[in-house]
Amino acid sequence: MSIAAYLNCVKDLGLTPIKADLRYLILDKTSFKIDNPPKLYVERIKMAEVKDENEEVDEFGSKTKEGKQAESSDFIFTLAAE
Amino acid sequence: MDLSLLRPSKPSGTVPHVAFVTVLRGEHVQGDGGPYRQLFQDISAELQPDKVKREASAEKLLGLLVPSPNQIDNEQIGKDRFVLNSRRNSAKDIGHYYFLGILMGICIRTGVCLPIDLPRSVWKKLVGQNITMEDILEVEVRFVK
Repeated sequence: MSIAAYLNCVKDLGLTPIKADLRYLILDKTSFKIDNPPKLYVERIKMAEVKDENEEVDEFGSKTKEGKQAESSDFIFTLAAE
Repeated sequence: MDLSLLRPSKPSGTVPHVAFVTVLRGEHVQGDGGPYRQLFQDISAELQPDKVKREASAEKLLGLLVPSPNQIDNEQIGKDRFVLNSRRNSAKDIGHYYFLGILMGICIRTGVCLPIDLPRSVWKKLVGQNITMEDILEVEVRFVK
């Protein structure tokens, strides 16, 4: 058997189809039927407004920041984590 | 929160596969898929702020990921990489890193993209591979020299 023929025989062992099937099988077996998924409420507009309020325009017209400590409510990441 | 709630079965047809429903209040958005994907993009931007945001001295930053030394030094290798912030080691911070891992898992399960430019040494450690000098070079050329 030539190398090309051999590779053709065993390609499913190493290439995409089996890996993809295995992946979907694992995901399927480890998932749950969930009727009401959790909800994450994000107020991006309000967050942007608060951010804008913290910016001050100085006499030269350039923006400066107040230098407040970051709070959990400032980031979507921390909101989601909580 | 029970983390199994974030592992819903893949729905059939064209129903979007989401681990949670994202409600963008005040924005008239229809459907679940768009806001869900946008949320991950927004989180990515928070985790990896661009240079302009970083250089604004008092800009509030999440600070979980910081630019790699190569990025700061403007090296050619790994100049877009971010690394974990070693100063963020409080219990709260560790919880946030744990949550980042949960988000990564959600992305894998629901097929959504969370663009994070971590160096390959981080991924290698996650899968138990050994780190080589080349991996360190990707993060900090100065150290190797």
